Amino acid sequence: MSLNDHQYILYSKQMLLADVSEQGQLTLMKAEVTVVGVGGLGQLVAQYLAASGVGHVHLIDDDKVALSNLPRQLLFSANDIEVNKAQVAAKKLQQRNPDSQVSAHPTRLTSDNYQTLFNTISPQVIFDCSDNFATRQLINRIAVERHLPLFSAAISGDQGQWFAYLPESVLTKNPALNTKPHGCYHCVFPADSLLSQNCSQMGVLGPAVGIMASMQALAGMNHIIGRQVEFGVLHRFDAKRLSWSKATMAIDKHCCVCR
Amino acid sequence: MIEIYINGERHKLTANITLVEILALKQVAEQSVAVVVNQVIIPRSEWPHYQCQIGDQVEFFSAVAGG
Ligand SMILES: [Zn+2]
Repeated sequence: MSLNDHQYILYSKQMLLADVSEQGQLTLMKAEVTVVGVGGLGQLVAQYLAASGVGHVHLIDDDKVALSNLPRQLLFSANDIEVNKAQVAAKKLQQRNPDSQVSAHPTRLTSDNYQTLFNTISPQVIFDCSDNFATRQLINRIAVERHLPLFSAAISGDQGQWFAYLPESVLTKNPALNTKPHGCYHCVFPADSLLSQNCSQMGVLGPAVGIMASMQALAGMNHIIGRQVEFGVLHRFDAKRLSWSKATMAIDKHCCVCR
Repeated sequence: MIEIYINGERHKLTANITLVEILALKQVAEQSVAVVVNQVIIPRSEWPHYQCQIGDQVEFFSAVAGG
């Protein structure tokens, strides 16, 4: 695989980064990734990944575009209302960059269907862009079971959170990743955790969602092209004060998901 | 008594106070938060026997799940 003249110009700004270069671009173009949720976070993550030339992007979402999505889900327009988000996004991104294969899976990821779905695709990383706690627990479980690095972001109101998680099975096989074992999502928030608010009833500003989505997309791309990523650290963003804080995700020795 | 910080505020509390006792004191439901001590998230299963030390910075926050 090598780049043609058009691709050299198209991806030149990425390749000008000394540690990316043509090699990094080719690595991106061979990568296969899964994005779960194509709402505020997922539509932006998907745009960055597809536009940067990631080889295969799977989009999973059973939701349809709604009028109230438009101020922050900038990939969608009024013409897309009532159409499945994964399908709209896949069609648009495919048109924008034919280098990236974008597949729509217009279904809700559940504990009943995830095995079948993940048997038909072979992503090397997974992005959690979902909008509810149960799906987040499921994606964490999939990451552990399927040995997938997980790049996760969430936002409700003015509170954003993101982290990168590397299953222990992956880090022991890849000492070059220079990562120590750390806790998973369930170690931090056990499945019986109570959320302070119902997300669907919380407001949010578009740029705040964009910041969280950009962080998870960037962390994921850095990982794919072989840059050092800090796994096992939960970053919190206060969208009102524009301030960040972070904390290490310690392992829960009794975690029923990763132990 | 020892001095520790809870969500940035200074508190004077009995020595050896545990994280579970701190949450009870602050009337925070255990299932509703993650607890950070000195920038490390302490798993919930450790809270009953995790004893705070002088100067500890304790914080709690809830999960957000929107996207
Ligand atoms: Zn765990």
